[in-house]
Amino acid sequence: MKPYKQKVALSVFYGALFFLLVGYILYPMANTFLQAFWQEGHFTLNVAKEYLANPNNIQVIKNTFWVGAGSVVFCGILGVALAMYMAFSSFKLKKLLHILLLSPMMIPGVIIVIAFVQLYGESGIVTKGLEFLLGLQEPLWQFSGLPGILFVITYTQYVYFYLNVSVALKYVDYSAAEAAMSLGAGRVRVFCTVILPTILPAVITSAIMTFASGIGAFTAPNLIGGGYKVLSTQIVRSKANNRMELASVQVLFLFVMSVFVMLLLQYYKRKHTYVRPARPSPFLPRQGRRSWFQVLCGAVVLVQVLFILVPIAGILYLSFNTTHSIMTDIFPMEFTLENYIKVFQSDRVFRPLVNSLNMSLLAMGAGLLLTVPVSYLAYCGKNRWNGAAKALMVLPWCMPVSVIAINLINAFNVRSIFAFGHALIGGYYILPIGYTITALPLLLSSNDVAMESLNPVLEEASKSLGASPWYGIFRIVLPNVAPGIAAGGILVFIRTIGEYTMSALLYGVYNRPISISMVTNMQEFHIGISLAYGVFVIAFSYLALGLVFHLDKKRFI
Amino acid sequence: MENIVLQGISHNYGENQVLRNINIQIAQGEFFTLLGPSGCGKTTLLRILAGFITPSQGQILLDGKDITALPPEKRGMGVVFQNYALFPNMTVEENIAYGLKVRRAPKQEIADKCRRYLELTGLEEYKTRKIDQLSGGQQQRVAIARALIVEPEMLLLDEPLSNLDVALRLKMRRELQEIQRKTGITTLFITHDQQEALGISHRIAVMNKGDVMQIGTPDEIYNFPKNDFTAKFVGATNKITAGEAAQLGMAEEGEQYVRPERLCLTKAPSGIPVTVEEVQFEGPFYQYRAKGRENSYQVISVNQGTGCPFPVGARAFLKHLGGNSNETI
Repeated sequence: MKPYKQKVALSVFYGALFFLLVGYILYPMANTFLQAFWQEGHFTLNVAKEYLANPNNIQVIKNTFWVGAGSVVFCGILGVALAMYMAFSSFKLKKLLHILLLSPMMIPGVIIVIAFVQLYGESGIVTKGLEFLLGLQEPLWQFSGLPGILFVITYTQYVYFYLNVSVALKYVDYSAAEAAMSLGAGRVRVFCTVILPTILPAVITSAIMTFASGIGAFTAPNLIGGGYKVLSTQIVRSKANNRMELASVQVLFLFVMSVFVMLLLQYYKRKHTYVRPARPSPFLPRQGRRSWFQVLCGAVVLVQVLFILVPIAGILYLSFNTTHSIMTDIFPMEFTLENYIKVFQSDRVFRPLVNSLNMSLLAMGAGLLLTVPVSYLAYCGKNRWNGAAKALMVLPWCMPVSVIAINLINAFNVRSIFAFGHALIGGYYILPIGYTITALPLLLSSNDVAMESLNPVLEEASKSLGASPWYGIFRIVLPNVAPGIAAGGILVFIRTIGEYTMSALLYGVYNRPISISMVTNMQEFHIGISLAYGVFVIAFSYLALGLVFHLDKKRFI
Repeated sequence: MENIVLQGISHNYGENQVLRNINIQIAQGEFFTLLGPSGCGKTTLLRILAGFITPSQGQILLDGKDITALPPEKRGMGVVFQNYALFPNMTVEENIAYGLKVRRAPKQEIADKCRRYLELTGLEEYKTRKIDQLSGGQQQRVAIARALIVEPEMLLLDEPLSNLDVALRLKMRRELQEIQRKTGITTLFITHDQQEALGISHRIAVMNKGDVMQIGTPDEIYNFPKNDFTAKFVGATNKITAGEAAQLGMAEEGEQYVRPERLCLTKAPSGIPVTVEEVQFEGPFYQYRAKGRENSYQVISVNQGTGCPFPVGARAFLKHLGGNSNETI
């Protein structure tokens, strides 16, 4: 039986937690539903019918699905192939290569798109350079439409597959592979019968994350999609035109698509999840000469590393050039520090950087405050309140970012009890709130992993020495799980700092983030400033990435 | 005087009853062992005593005071866990000092006691090391020092030697006995290893499927088992029929258990004729399995240093050496 004080403390905690989770996840979703289907005091499908009556909108829905499906396929192929190559190879600098392959996870999508536009766009350095070298009149490729979108998404999102499959490959029992080979199985059969079943759950989990991310992608479709329209760009346009009922219908289509695919994949995953061997035999790479196939794979990996490094190098290089040179020269050579000076001299230019840092820290802090106790209580044992809290916290995982943003707009553009009688839209805090909601699934999953690594007997040992439960939590539990929790928090910080989709829908005068400023400056032809912003974000991201690897080596290296 | 009394302790996990009406009294300063196979309930009983589990029924009395409802941090039990449960974020010295810091002992007292228990457990030179820099035996000593420094009413040891190799286990067993003798602390020791239990304990409770089968000194448990389970679990044994007992010329009549070391093989034509089926050389002694007309027998003989006297296939006679055998069933 729990002591009385503990029961009261838990009741207060769960009361506050559910107030927030219901108020900022369930209630907004319900509001969107009402916005879409409740007009003039009655239930109606008119808005949805009007939307679907237009064949262009049907095409938009199909386009969105193809972006999601294409993302899964291309990211899957690249991510799994890279994971397998790294797992089965042994060479110097392997750890460095692994870190480089993980780094796209850290770089915000808006920066990647801007970098790609500068390199591979119609007037990009690489495009113009090849035109010049080959004597062409027109660009070799069109960096726009579905291929351009998929190229950008594959570049940034393959990391889900790469990381998850890399971890799963550590649990493959290679003695089973050797047993299969001794029974005459070839490599393909060994892969299909031994390796694939073990990594399949990781592949499916990655597919779910990539699909939700793909269909919700806004940056690439908005900046380089051209005529290729998807739901996320439509949602932003509807919101800008103040047609919230239409935006809500579009959001619901996006949400249903995401949930449907997620449920389908989860079902498939459950059917193909097997008990891991207690002590799997690790794979021991063969020493000696490498086959031509290994050499070819190595070359592909090097190309991928170049693709990672070139945009970063490109942004860094161009940020030290004048805008005039960037816009007029194939290879800009007018170097200047002016772009960086402007960032620090002008408050209008500097403020978005500060806003993004502050809001990312707020989101990280708020997210940890909510998820750490829930993870700890789950680790202590099952209870239905915790189960319900976790289910609500995981819900944003299958909500594309634009869905969450529209939900918040629908709920908080008027005074709300959940905002203590205030309307949050247009204010400072709505954006960090949106960031926090998006971060909850990642933080929860990261904290759960950290808690699982804790020996449960440590708390008992602490109690046996006379320490109260709270003393044990602060002196024993938290110090031991802090590195894993901090690593998850920093990941959220990095992903939030350059976030664009949520920002585009929720930013206001008081909280203009760096991602919006980057795009606005690009559109106003202050390209140099935009790139200087990008360098700052990349620098923060890499510093934070280094910290993450230092804190949680086991998970990431 | 009894330090600890377990009265009528029973415990269920749902429908599954894991402890049935356990009654045990442990005297002040006694080294008491719970011995039994995996799943017999000995760890559950230890955790009930430590306060991590509340028993479904029964009482625990410490010096006459009922502590059944007390939480673990208020019981004054020192626990050494099977995997030691050392705090990885602290050094050896910090681990040992933890209990005193919880009690807000003065700094000087903490320093003095740490020094004393580091010396007692031979860990002075390791005091600034992190836990992962220690060997298994060293970690175990840290766990013991950490439990002892707060001067608990009783020390509870949950299979503390099970993670150690054989040689280290023997060494740590002796050290454990030495520490217990020096401190005089009442100790409850959990193990499934009969040799360990026999070698280290003042008294043993043999457990099986939630019941206590027998409580006694090691001598009583080994030489006078009161039931089949104790006879078979604690050491090897031969089940002798009444006819065989008569053939062997045993003092007791009727069906009984006889330890292998109470039998011997001889070439003299007296006793039960047998053929040697299996021989295991174990250094100080030979273990034989010899087959008679109706039964197979285990025999242990001291190694005389002249080679194996009864190789596989040899015909011999089984003889009883006399002395106490197990009581009649």
